[in-house]
Amino acid sequence: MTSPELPPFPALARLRVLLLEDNPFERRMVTALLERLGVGHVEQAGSGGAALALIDAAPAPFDVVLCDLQIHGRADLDGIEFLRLAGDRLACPLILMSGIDEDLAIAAESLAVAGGAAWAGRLRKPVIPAELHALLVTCTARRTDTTAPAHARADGARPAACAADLRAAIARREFVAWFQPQRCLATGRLFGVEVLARWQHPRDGIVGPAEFVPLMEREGMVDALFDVILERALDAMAVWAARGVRVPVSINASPLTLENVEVPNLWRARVEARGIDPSQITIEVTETAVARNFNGLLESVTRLRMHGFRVALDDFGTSYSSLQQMSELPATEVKIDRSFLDRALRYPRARVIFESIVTLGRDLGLAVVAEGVETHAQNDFARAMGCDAAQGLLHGHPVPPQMLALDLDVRPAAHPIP
Amino acid sequence: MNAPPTGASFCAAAMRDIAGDDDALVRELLDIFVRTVPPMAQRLAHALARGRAAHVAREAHDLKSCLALVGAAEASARCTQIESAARRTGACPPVDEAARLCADIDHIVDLARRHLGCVTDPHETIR
Repeated sequence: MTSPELPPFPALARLRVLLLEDNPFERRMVTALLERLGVGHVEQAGSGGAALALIDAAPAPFDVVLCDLQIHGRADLDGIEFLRLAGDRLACPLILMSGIDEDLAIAAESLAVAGGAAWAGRLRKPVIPAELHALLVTCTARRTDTTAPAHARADGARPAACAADLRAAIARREFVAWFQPQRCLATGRLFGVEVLARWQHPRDGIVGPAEFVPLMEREGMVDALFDVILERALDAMAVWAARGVRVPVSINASPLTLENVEVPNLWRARVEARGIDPSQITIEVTETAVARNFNGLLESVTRLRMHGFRVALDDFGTSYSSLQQMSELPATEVKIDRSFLDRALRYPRARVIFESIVTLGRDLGLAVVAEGVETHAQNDFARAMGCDAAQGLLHGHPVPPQMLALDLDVRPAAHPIP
Repeated sequence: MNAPPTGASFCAAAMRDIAGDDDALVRELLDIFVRTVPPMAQRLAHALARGRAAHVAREAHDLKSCLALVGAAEASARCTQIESAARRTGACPPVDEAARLCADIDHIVDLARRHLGCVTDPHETIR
């Protein structure tokens, strides 16, 4: 039976849902609600241990996990412990159910995402049917999106690359540069583009950075990757310049690369040899906490600025030392990590933090860029808060250079490319 | 006969959002409610009597959802206030206020039991 006030959604019948709730009354209520909404398969657990056992014993993976945070049995796991122990086994959307305070809810969300869960949303208790229905519909859409990734091989997942594969790929120049636009929020005009590394795999097609950057960092290959991507970016800039378009380009640099105090002179020489003004290039620095030699990093960043490059603090707010970075590194731009924007529209507390970062950046004379802008609501919010520019799927997916729209008008994302 | 406590509302219709016209499901849910909530209220009363703020917060937190689900909005709101005060400041409500809340919860359970139209052993718990 489907609730009369909620539109029937047949895809819910295919969902496999795991419910973790220790209170028997609420557990039965939510189970009844799921059944009433038309969810095809519901497994319920009253403890974290029982939920882990169900995950391990399930003949097919669950599509959605609904998890209460406050589980009280002294001998049992609480919701957060469950999420940590479930870890990678929860490769499906996660909905937290809780009436806990907002600061605890935000922290729980961060922990869940860090543990590998695909965050779908939070429901305040008692659960409201329409809210649960909306989240399940969203989860169903994600399930459809992720069942056949564009680069997946017909016979299943692509095997993980090893270091030798990556070295060979560098030698064969298989790494290419894709570009994602950033738009000025006041005018809608192009603010710049960020260059993003992609692996043009000879068999599997385009492979995203999550599948090769971490291994490259461990194996000391990030300098070589940076060299390739910088060269590709300079190639594209030269093509655009020949068409009379000057497009500022941002490029990510590992703090480990920047520890080498030789890089400012090397990069300036390479850029100027192509007839490009260093001021057209922004070096994006992230997570300086991993730097083994902060003084070397500081010297490189300072001299890059003196050579005319711009410097952005990337993913700002996620590092343990974000404020230290902001106070010590002579940056010109701050890019607010996408997680802050996402939460700012959902939690008043997160909104205060987002607004404070914007104020801090502007008071220090930095350009402020909002990352992860995917909806008009997020875009309007970022503009209202005073961000200078926005980057995200709303303004354009990462694309190869020949597909980048270099017109100066606002153009919605039109080419969803994996 | 004593007047019913002022904060002890109960509305079985609140469960119709979830159970719809399924009377058997309403009965099943109420049956679980009348067996689940009394021990929770007892634990809250114990925690309040001993001034154990962390326990008070925990029990009030659980009770507020259960009470809201049966339309006991006022008692649920008082649990929310007690939980919030206990978490934020470590404060427990005055003894008389705590006693009133516990009496209200007892009365809500009685109303649910009457609605259910059957006698249920209040000491039996399910886990």
